[in-house]
Amino acid sequence: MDREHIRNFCIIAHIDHGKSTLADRIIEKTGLLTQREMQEQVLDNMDLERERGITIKSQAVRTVYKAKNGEEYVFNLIDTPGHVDFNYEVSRSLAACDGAILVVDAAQGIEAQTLANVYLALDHDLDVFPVINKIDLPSAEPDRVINEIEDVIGIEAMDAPRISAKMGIGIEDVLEAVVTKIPPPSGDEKSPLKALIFDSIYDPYKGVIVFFRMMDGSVRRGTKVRMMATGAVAEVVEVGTFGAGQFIPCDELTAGMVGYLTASIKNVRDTMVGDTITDDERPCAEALPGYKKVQSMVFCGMYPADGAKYPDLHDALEKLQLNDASLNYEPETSVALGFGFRCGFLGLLHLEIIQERLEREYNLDLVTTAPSVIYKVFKTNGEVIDLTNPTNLPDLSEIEHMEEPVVSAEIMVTKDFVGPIMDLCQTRRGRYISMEYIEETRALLKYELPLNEIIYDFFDALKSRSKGYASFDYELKGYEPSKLVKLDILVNHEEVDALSFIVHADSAYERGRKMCEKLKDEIPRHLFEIPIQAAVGGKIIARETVKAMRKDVLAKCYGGDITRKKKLLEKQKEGKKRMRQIGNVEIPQKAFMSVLKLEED
Amino acid sequence: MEIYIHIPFCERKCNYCDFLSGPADERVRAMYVDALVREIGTRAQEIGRGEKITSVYFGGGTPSILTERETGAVFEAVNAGFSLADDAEITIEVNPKSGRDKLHFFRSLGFNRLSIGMQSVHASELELLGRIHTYDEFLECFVDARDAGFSNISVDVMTAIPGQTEQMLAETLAKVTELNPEHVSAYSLMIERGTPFYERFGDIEGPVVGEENERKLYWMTVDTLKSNGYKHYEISNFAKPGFESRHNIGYWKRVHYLGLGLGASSCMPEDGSDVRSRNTTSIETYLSDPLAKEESSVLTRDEMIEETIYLGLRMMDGVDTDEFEKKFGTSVRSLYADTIDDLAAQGLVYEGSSSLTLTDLGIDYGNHVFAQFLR
Repeated sequence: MDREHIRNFCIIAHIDHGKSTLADRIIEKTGLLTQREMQEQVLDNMDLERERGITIKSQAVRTVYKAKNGEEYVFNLIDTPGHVDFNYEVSRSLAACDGAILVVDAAQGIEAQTLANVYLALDHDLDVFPVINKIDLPSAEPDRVINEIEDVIGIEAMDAPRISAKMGIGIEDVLEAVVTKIPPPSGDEKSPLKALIFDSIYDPYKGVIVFFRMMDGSVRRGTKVRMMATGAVAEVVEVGTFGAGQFIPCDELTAGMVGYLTASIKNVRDTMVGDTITDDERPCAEALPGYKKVQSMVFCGMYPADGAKYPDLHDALEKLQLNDASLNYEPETSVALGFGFRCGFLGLLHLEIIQERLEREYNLDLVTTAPSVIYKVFKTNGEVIDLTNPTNLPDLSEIEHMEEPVVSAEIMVTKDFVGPIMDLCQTRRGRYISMEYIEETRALLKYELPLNEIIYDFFDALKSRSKGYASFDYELKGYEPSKLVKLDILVNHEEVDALSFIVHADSAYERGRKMCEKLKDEIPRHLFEIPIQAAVGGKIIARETVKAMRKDVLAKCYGGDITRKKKLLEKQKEGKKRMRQIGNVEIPQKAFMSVLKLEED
Repeated sequence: MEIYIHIPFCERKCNYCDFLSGPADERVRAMYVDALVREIGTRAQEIGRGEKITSVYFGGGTPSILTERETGAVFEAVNAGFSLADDAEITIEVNPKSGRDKLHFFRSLGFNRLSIGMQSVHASELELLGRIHTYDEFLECFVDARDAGFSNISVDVMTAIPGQTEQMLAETLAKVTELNPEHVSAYSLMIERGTPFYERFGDIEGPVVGEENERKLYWMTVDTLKSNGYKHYEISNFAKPGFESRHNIGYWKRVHYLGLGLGASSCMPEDGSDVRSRNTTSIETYLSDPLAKEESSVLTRDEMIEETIYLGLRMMDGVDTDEFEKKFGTSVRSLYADTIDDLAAQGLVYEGSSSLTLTDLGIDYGNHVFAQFLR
């Protein structure tokens, strides 16, 4: 297939605007799959993702479309993750495309992610054409949305296909637009091999399967390839393209094509997203731009609920990491929780996904500590520490100052909720940058926010304060000095290391108070009173008390009705299950988790 | 094996009572006795006379409410269907107003132990509880019982009655010990759902008299009875040496028992396991089908193990750990080392060379201790 008949594109959209559904329709209409073979959403092939309605890993599908001009075109549809945690992966997927379909919900119009993704696509010189989806909704206002797209984004939208991916309306128009509006790939088959990795997965039989876009040259079985950033070298065993949900081997991939290769590579860390594949014997002059080493933004401790399962947790993390180069972990020990791992994630969503996979796919019961960002601790001796675990904070006397990561956030919100959202940003130590009305009823708020203020429950708070109407996007801006303190929790006068966290001095009291209240409800009564205290630098700032256990009235077993007696005992035992011993106090595992989400009042 | 016979009738339901019992007219009582005799007959045939019956207990309700003829019919059915051990303990619960003729009749029938529901010597407390008798009537009943030849009498005392002072309880206990019954059961009042007391005192957490008071009254009872020659052999039961209730001990030591009558519970062997079951609690169902079960479950080995511990701990002699090992082929310690060490460190249990017992503190937190042994 010559390059003129290839179209490499992606679909960009705000979450829930119908990206996956449109992808399904495109696959369906291009006839590669019969109705029967279709999974509900072919691109989202992980259960977890389907349940959450989001796509985590990039993937690509190759389909064949016979256009109205009678010619056949190869469509390579590259899927992009839809969450800010995966922004870098999105950018690499975009770089593998020549154009993008912008899906906008006919009722909701442009949202924060729509903008963020469009700008990202335009930055990558993609030709973007809009599609107005969900026109079947009673609340659809396609004309308003079209105007909005032209006004706000500044791209031509008058002849945008008006479709309903769900109902299968207007899909042909989208397919024709892909042919006419998205340019064929450029590139030179004669030049040395140059290909962009946009994803890789680990397969227990084939090793790492690398997904890439051919820029120049060609690759085939036997080619000795080199990953230019990681330096990994391997001999190609198989190349091919992706049918929907399956690998279709072929002889050769050439400039402009999208496909995969396997080469007995053992670790996805050798094939990082964004890296350039070249021919080891005839390398290209320079790597493709844009490669970044993925950095974990959020850290937390993960401990097996049952200490004996530590090796299992280790194995599970190892396996997950095979498939997820952005997951980091290293062993750590907690006085309260025993042996576990400090794990690094792209963001809170990534953390939650990993946690759920560990629990679901590997059947592990986990205790997770409060998520933390990386703080920079400048010591008086000139040393700078990247602090990911609050427990490792040096003595106050050794600290010159501390810095925390700050993000630039964009929040799109309807007029009515501007006030509450500004309040929220204010209480989260946000720095107001600007506000502009992108249309009469909607504003784009720009704030700078400390990352540690948004990793807890910012999304939830945003949703509840805007009745779900606010959308949010952010990127890391950099580090800034901040007045940070370590908040310690003492249970019966003993410090519980797993509950310590770093907090801004001004919020310490509030957070400490809420932690104590939460723990008071979670810790069962003991034979004695248990004080629960929050302390900063040894000074108690909040306190609650778990009252002593009630004494029993031991009723007799009526006529030998032991079954009833047992039911009562079981009720008493409830919640007992798994406890952690701190001094002479037993703390339920649940308590460690419950303090992670101190909801807004 | 033991037999429990449930008579779900009484003259009037007491204000605290949530037992399966209530007033009923003569016709229903007669039909009930017919059904009960049928049930006894069928179960007796199933079980056969090979098994010696060590204890028979007529409980209620107020079993003494039945006519002599009815009581005789039930007793005879048991006697005919099962093989009672020569020294079997045969108890009937009586209300203080039963009358001397009935007591003589019970004795002549073969009952050798009486349990009299006295509860308190104070008229104000008896009235509050909704009891239909006075202290004088109890006294008369007690004397009549002795006269009828009962040399093993148990008296029920209630503690933690709303408004009960230490002084009041002391008076009750003094009068009881003066009578010198062989056995005393002393239970703290619990407010149960569905009783008039529940309506009146509401769904409060803990006893009406307050948690500390309830414990004070409990320990006062223990001390008083102990100093009067009673052995504190079970959390709420006291006896002169040799007069411990064999029937009740059976429950705590997991002796098999067959419950007969409305809503009666059984624990019987079946294919090498124990099965706990309960008869139907619907009187209509029972009258038409006295074999109807409401629930039945085969105990797992784990359940038998945990029962052995938490029931055994109710006995002041505790769990016999040697016997446990003989029965289950594994030691209590090997199953519960952490639990025992943890509870012992808190002063709640004491581990002897061949026993595991509750400490005094452990008695105060009994349910908490028991719950730790659930697996």
